[in-house]
Amino acid sequence: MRRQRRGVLTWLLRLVRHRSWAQVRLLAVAGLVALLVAAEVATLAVLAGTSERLGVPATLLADAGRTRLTLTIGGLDRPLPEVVAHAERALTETLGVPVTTEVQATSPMYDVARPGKWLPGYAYVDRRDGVEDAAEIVAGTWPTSWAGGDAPVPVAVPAGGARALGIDLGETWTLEAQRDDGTDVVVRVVGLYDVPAPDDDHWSRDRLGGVGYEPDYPVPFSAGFLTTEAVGPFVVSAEAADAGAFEVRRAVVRADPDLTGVRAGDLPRLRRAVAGLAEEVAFRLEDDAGEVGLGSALSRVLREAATGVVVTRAGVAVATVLLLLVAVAALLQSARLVSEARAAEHDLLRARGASRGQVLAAVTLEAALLGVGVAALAPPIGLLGVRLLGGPLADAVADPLRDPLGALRALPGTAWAAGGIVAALLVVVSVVPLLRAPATFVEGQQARGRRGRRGSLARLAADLVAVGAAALGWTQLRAYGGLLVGSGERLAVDPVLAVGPALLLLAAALVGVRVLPLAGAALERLARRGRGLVVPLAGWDVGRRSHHAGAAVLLLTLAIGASTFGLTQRATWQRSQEDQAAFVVGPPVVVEDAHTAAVDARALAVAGADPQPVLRDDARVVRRTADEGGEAVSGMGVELVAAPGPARATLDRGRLADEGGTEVAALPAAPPSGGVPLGDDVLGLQATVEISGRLLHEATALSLRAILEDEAGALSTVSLGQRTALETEEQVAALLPDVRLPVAPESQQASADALAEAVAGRSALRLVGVQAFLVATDNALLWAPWESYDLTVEVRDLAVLRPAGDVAAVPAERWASGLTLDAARAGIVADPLEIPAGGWTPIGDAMGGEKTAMLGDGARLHFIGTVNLLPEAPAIGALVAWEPVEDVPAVLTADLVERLRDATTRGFEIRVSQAAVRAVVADVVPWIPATSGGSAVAVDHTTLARAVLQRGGLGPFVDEWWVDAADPEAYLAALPPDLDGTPRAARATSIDGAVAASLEHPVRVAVPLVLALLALGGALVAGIGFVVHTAVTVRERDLELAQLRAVGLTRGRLTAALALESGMLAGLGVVLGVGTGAGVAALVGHLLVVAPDGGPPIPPVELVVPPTVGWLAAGIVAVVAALTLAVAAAQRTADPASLLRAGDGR
Amino acid sequence: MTAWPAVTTGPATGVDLAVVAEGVSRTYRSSGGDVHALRDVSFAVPRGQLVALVGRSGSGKTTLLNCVGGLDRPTSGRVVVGGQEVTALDERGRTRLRRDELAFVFQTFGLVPMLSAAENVGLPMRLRRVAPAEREARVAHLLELVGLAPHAAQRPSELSGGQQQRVAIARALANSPRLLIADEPTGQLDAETGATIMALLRSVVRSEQMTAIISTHDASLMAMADRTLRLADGRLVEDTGA
Repeated sequence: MRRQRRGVLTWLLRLVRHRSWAQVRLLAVAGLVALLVAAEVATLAVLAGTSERLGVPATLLADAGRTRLTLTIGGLDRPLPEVVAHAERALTETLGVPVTTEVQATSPMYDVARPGKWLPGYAYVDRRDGVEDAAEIVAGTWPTSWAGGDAPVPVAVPAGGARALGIDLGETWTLEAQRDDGTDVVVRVVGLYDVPAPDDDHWSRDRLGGVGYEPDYPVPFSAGFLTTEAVGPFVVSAEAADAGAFEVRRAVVRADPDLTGVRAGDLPRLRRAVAGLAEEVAFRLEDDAGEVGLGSALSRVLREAATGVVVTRAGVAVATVLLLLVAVAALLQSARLVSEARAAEHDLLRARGASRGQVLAAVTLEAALLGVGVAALAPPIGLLGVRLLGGPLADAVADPLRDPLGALRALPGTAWAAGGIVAALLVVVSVVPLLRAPATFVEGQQARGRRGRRGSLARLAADLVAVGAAALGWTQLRAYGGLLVGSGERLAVDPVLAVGPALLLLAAALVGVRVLPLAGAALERLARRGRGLVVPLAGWDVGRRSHHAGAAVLLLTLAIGASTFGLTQRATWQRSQEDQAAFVVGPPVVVEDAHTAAVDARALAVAGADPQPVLRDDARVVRRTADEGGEAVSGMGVELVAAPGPARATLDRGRLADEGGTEVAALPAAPPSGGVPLGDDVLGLQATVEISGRLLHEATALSLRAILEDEAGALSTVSLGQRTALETEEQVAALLPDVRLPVAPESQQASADALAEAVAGRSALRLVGVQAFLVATDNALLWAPWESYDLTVEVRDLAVLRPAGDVAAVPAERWASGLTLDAARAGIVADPLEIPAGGWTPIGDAMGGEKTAMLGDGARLHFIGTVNLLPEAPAIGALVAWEPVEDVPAVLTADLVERLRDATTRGFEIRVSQAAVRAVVADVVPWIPATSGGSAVAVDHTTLARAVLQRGGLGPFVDEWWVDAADPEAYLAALPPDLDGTPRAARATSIDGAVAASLEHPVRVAVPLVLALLALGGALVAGIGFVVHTAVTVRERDLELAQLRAVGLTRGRLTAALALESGMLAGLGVVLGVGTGAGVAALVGHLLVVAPDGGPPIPPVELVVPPTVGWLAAGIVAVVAALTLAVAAAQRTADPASLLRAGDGR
Repeated sequence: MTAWPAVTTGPATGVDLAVVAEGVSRTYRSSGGDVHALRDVSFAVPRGQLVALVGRSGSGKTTLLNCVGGLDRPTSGRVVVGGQEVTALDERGRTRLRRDELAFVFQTFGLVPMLSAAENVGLPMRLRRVAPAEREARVAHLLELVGLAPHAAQRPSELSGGQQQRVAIARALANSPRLLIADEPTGQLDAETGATIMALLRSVVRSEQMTAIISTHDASLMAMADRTLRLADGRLVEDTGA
């Protein structure tokens, strides 16, 4: 028995060897088709694997600041070193990856004496690990050790702060505790330091943001209306801090987790760990500290990485399923080629006694051997394909030509699986026709007779099933809104939904192919009335051999459909990325410049650009109700975009215009203001202030500000200080907020040239208002009775401070303080201002009567009324040179209007810059460009700023600049560095840059490549598949064609008939393919494009059918035509005599 | 219809010759060596004669018919049909000859399976771009002639072997050829049907005043022929009734 089996196996092997060798060309064609599709699917797998391998670390390591964990520990119950050690261990063990930490421990605020001032200055002490890299010692050294006990603590002090408070190197100062139970700290100054880049993340948690000195530091409980000088941090060594040199008010542990080894598979675990990290760390430090807070964007970064991976997988899944569908169609085509060529041989084998099982085994063995070759070769070819595609992913894979073994080892398992799947499909499509074959000759004859009706019914049933499945898939896709299901950690690609586009394409192709008999019938009707033979021959063949023609058109439709879908989806995806980037960025270029106040606008006006000041910030809006007299009763966070007219006009373009940009651009611009021109070389303002009348309480102070407007219309305020004394005259002076006098550390002076340079290129300013507040300085006033007051503030002798130009050196003493200047000593001239009396409007509930007016050299504000001077609600008065703003017209998002309910009729309030301004709804749009797509409000910049200033707000009103640059790249290249020497381009974002960053991100870069590969694969399969079809059908009909030749059909007409027939099928396939591909993309394409967070993109996806689809169609037609002619030409050379002589038995 | 010019080859006989073969040889090259399908075959067929070409399988009958019909080219010798030297014609000329002057009937019928009987019959007329009305009338006449008028719309697969061969004969007559070449027309038919087909052939050849060369190895059918040419191993070994 065993011997018999061995004999059968030997026979099978010999049979396979012989017949394979005899028909090696045939098998080569089938094998090449299988290898082509297998290699394409393997390329997809390699692309996806490489994208994940590169993309996850690239996302996680792109910005260390975003993955940093900032653990804030307050109310320490144990010594600092012990608490820090516990925190480090908790982080490491919970995350499961090593972390490196830096500690910043800060003291409470201490008082520092300021001789002659009624408020002390403030200072604080820090331990700051890594400060040596974030700051520069300009005199002395960094502190190293502390003797302990009563010995002064060695500290390094910010040089600017030291200048302001008159602190010198080597001096010993006492920092007085503000609380009664606090302990004073005696420090000895061993070093002075400067911070070159306060924006550095190191200083992000510093009280003064790294600037070292703040002349207007808010006094606690004054709501910012009272300020004093603050200096810090006084940096001590880590050892001194650990030894208890000062009371630690708050410790900040900045931990950087080592994420270099994290892969896509690690993300779920890491996300779970980070989600529970705050609770876990708080639990572990329960006995160490009273307050533990964790701040980090790591969770968001991990979500972005995980979402990016899932989004890429979704794209790959769709493309793979479509490619597999095309692959099956192509394999069926080539299997038919082999099967029909083998039919006679199989009959012969059966006739000679071979069982059906033996024939089946021979075919299976042959297909399996071919499949093994395909499965083995496809992955390395896929690797080569990725290399050929180029780009960052290509550089990341091993070159199989240079390092074959390394490349094979690095191949992802999915690539091998892809090859295996296609190989299995090859075996299945080769064997299935034999399984369906009739068992006996007689059955075959009977089956042949029934084929027509049964075949039609089966085909109809298959079509109905496909259409039903496609309808179900589409419904599900629409219901889920895309391929992704779940959310958060459970966000994943639904494999069933991923099949949806392929089902739709298949159904559309099957239905589309139904037009084939109609086309054939039309041709036949034409032929019946015609004389010739060429057109009728083509028509008869198409119409009456519809199973052959249908198979070819179906393959073409599927392949070209997949290709069109790939091209369309790729263009749609790219356009959506562009739209999303444009939506978030807004104008062509945005320069974020918190340090650039209005007066510095000209620095950004390079390359012919006209930068526009914009406030884009979080704000709160509140609903007003009639029941409560218009008082706001509820609030909600929104994104606020306040932009002047020219800036808003940049949103009235392209997609942005359709998505709210037009409405935002149409907001009314503020009318021009009056005021007094000050020039473009302003360093500051000077005035004489006198307060007369009756104050409510001794603990009441008056705060004065001048309102300035620059050429771009941006408003800003300058503090003219705080006054408490009545009936006294005092000269006040203040530098503009962004004026930094270039003081040389060694001389503590600034040269005239440096001063001139400091104001060079500044925007011309105008004085457009004076603002005053009455503020309580004592919490006791919270419970004070309501009393009346009558107070007159006169601001006289207003003058502009400018560089004198002829003073060689300027003593820097106390300049930066913003306090009184000795103009003559400072080398600054004070040019008196002439102020017109007309064109000014008094604003504010507390302003009384006719006494409030502009004088020839200043202003007089008359406060009169009865108010409760709560610190949070000072009496506000102003004189402004513009038409007072009653309500700010605003464009709102629809969801916000819904949340505000009656906002459209009753109006609402916007709370921003410490003021609440009334607003009315000018328009409602689905989204507002230049926001993240959530609830948002857009207003005119100047109108809002004026309204805020009228309501006592202080600004600033600029946090970024919008630039309508025709050539963003040239503009960014021309941007000068800012005052700190930092390149401004580093803080600039252009739409082009955002689009490039989005498209080239390693996590996302695979998506367009995959779709391009789908397009290429579809086109290749279409071309090759159709040529195989043509070769098969011509071969099948060669006897028939020889007979036609015998009755007088010329070779030329024969070729024309074949070309016409193929051209008709190819044309139909191309039309149906392009139509179904674009149709499927139109139906589901928008559902497959998602935002980086996995949600629906904003603005919504618009279908883009690129011109390349036309080129694809034309190219395929051209290639098919050329190859068909080649096949027909081969037929021309066939000898009809030999064919006729061979007859059916050939 | 143009009258054929009188053709004489060799010595003048005064007989109107439809086909003349002179020293026709055909050798095929194969891996096993040269195969001499025809060796120095010469004969002449007067117009209107029905010639039976007999011989065993492989004797060279089909090769000789292909050479006469311009489907194959002799290695040496020449063939003249209706005054035109077939062996001197190019591909285009031979195709025109097959289209206009002669017709083939194959053992395997040679019908286009996807076409109806009427469409198959109309094929040669489409090659000559005959007007549709004239074509349809002639197709109807020919199908009537071969007794298949009721089966005009049926496809070959729906007809019996004899009926298919009748359709093939009708198609052969479509362009009123001067010469009919039939290669084993009854080879796939039973004896009775074969006899019927041969009778039909003889009838139409007579009625259409055609010349016909019909290959067969059925001795009973030879009786119907005016003349018999016998081939053996590529040589013309017998010419009876000449």
